[in-house]
Amino acid sequence: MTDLGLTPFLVLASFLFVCGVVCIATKRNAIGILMGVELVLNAANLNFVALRGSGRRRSAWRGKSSR
Amino acid sequence: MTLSHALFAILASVTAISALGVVLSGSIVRAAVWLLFTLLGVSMLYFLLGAEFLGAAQLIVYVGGTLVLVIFGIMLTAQGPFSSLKTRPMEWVVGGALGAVLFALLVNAVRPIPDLQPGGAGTLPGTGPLGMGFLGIANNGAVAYLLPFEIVSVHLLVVLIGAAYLARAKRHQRTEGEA
Repeated sequence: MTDLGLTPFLVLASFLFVCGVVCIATKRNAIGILMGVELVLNAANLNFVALRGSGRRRSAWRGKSSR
Repeated sequence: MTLSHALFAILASVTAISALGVVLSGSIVRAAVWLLFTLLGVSMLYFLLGAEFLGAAQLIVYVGGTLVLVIFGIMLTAQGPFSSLKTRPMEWVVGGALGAVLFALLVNAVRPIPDLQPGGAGTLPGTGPLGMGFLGIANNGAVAYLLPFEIVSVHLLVVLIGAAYLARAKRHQRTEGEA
């Protein structure tokens, strides 16, 4: 587990999300729009994983076993 | 500036620059190659976060499967003028402005989320209680979500069959009209 905070991951995920939304909005191609959807889904997955790491750190902070 | 900070800086810059490349590249094939580097960066970030299985699954499913599917789609549909349709400058301006506003909003929403909460809500439930609650076998009278889930899946199946039927009927009609 890293000693980074939660915020950099969330900011990076929001950047990926915004890139996906702009890609969906500006591409004139079905496959380009599909790529934008892929970016949005990856941003959501990155959020999930970052928050899951936060939960484990929280339980380790409270003195419980980390797994 | 520890090792994880440096690794995160490298991986985040690679991922962000590749995502910008996906958005800004005009050619659809170049966008696919930029998307490859974005997916690789996200999988490395999973490894950095300690989710090794998810990183490997990302490598296998996205980089190995979905991206190859996208490239096949490009190769099958890249005939005619659709492969290089230009976006107008006004659309770039409007889309970029909306994206910047959305990014500022999201960063403002994300920043006050606390990292470590010493006395926060209890530990997260594992997958076992979640699955049991989903099936309705939970001990504390939880709502069973299995019936709505099945109803939704039957709905989706009906929609799928209906869409296939409609597409087939239209093609049949056209062949009849040509004959």
